[in-house]
Amino acid sequence: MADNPLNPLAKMPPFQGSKEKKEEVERKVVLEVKDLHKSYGKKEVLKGINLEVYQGEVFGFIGKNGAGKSTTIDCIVGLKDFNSGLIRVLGHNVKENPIDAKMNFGYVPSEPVTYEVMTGNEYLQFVASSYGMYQEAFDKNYEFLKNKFMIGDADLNRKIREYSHGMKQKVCLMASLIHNPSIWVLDEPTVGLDIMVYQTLMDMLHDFAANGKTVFVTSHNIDLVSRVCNRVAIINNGVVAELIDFSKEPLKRRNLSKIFFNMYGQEEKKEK
Amino acid sequence: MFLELLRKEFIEKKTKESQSTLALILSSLLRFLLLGCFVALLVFVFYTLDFKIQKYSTYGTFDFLVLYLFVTAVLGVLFTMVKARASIFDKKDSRVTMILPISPSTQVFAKVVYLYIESALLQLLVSSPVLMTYGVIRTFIPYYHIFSLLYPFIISFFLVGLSLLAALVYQQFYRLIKKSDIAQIIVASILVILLCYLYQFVLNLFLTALNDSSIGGVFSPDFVNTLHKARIYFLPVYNLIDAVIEKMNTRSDIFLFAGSSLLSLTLGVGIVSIVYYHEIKNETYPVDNKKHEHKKLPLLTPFKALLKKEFAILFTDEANLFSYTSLLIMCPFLTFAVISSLNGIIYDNLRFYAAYFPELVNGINLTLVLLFVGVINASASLSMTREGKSLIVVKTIPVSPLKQIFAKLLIPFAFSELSLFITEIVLISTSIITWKVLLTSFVIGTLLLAFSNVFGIFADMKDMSSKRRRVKATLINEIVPILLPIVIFLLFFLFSVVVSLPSYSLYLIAIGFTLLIFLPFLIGLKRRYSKSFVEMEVHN
Repeated sequence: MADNPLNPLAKMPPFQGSKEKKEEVERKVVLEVKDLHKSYGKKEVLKGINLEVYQGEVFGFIGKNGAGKSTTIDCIVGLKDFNSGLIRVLGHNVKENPIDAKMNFGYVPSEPVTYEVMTGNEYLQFVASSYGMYQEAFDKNYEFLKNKFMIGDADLNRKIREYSHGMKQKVCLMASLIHNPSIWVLDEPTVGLDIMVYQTLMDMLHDFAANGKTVFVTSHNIDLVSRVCNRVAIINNGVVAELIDFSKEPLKRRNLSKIFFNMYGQEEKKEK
Repeated sequence: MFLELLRKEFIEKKTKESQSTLALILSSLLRFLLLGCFVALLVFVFYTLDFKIQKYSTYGTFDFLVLYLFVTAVLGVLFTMVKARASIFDKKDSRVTMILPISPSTQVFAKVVYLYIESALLQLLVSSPVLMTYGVIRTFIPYYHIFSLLYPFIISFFLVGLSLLAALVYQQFYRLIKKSDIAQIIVASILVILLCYLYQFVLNLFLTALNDSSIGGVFSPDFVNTLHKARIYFLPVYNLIDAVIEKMNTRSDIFLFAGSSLLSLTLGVGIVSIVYYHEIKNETYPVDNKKHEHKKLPLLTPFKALLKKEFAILFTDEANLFSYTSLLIMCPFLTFAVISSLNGIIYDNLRFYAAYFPELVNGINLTLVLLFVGVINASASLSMTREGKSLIVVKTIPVSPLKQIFAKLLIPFAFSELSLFITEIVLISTSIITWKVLLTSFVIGTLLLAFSNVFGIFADMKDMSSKRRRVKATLINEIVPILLPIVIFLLFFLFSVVVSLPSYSLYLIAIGFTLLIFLPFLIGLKRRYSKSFVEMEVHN
């Protein structure tokens, strides 16, 4: 495998949980979203989103259906173009340096998306090759993730089109981490997962952040968000309506669903 | 509830995307016009052949009618079988309907009625006009014409039952070959070869009808005699037609037809109901009991990985097997069959025109080579659409847009070019085309393939753009490979007949014209491609 100057991550050791390193982590901004505007035709969905996500944290992004959560994520990962604003991933502007920005994150879409004509192994091999990974780093990450998500060789040698929904989601999760990203972006990651993998995912979100990396997650599951996130942004009407830091306001962790319902309850009253 | 289920079957199978009222009216009119043309052509060919067969044998016409209706019945069974499999073994559909308070028998009944209507409509299109033509030629009484209209609805009882049984076999076969990509390619190729033979036979038949000479080549006296003896085996079509037209054994014919239809329908519906109920209750995922050892997974360079991915999508995805892969394999045979048949009729009948238009045959040959290669390639050039939901992967991997687009262009172009090359070798080695046609069609064909792929992907990206400047990729992608060969033929005609240029200059003009229309598109291509890739929106 030739050296890929764009991929410093390929040389890094495989990601493994280590909570001891947490203290060493600086509060460095790894994901910056400034005044993000996005319209679909005449309908403006994002009306100036502002966010700063720090290294080593699990950042939750919640809101009701159609509030703009997925659109924001789509703009961050490059699925959608945006009208104005700025998105930086580890200092890389996603419009000016999209490749450098993409090198740094692993993305899990809301529906498992892979190439169904490939086997699980072929898909992981394809993703790792696209990131220009070193063989050694790939082999280590592959073994680690295979054990973490409890997938056997027999399953990985089968065509993905034969997989169940949960299996496809597991392969998507593996593919998003195979290149050892700095930021893990997850859009509704728990749909279709069995309880064992759900718990593994929870642990991995913790471990990932504890290892100095960053998680950006959207979910309708308020319980999940309140359990694993360090900070949460609630999006409403195309802007970040509230930003909660659980380290400063620990009581809000328990009351997150109440805060969420109050916000949207008032919104609905206004609409009426 | 039953009507709602029936409506669902039609909506699921027909609706692709919402259309404006004007677009709906226009597409309906176009469809109506095309169907009208098809029926007119069918009637013309049947009328001409019937007239010619009459000269050879008095009973030959009835036998030919029975043969035709039998063939359409077989095609009807195949058509309905494919629809039946898609409808009955649709897991997504059964997951939705099984949780509704509707009995499986009602669900099966709705599907059977849907298939019955589809089958009857097909027969109404291909059988009724021919039956009516047969009656008009022989001035049959009006009662016969009512029968002609009712025939599709009567025969469909038998056809649907048989189609349901065939769908079960087809599903088992499908499950078997689904496990192996090579098996799928082989089966698809065999089917396309059979279709090519059928196509060649129909083409010969059509050309014979068009040609004002004898039909001995197709309907030899031996064939007519064999057909007469074999007609009684064309069950149950023969019985139904015999009961109405010949009336030799009316009672036994009616009993045989009614009995076989009842048996076919009862068996078909009965067995399918059991299988359907079993499928929705016992949906399982395949279990693999083989021991799997972990194989080393060698990584590739990003570009090689992209090429491997494109190859997998194009050649192992079952959706592309019939539309592209097998047609690509069959392109040399198909082109040879059509060009040799057409050349035959031109040499026989159009020598007079060739005196005024010396390059007539070469011009037609060039046009046909380009048409076949272009149209086959067009089915593969919408590389972004082919990705489907996986476009999310395309947009999120850290590989430059140009590199990804280049990989997408390279695979279909390389394989279409290879097919074009083999086609040319076949045509020149069988002396079907001249060296001048070979060189010109190869150069223009290469340009056409390159443009078709380059433009196809560009228009494809524009179709998905956030800027909403819809180019209608599919439309342009389908029109260009048809329009270019026709325009080149017209240029041949213009410069040969009107301007009287020497023959070699015609070929140079054709190449020059192609370059002239394709080259401007290349200006600023790199910038436009990168921009379109970014503007292309993927719905999560």
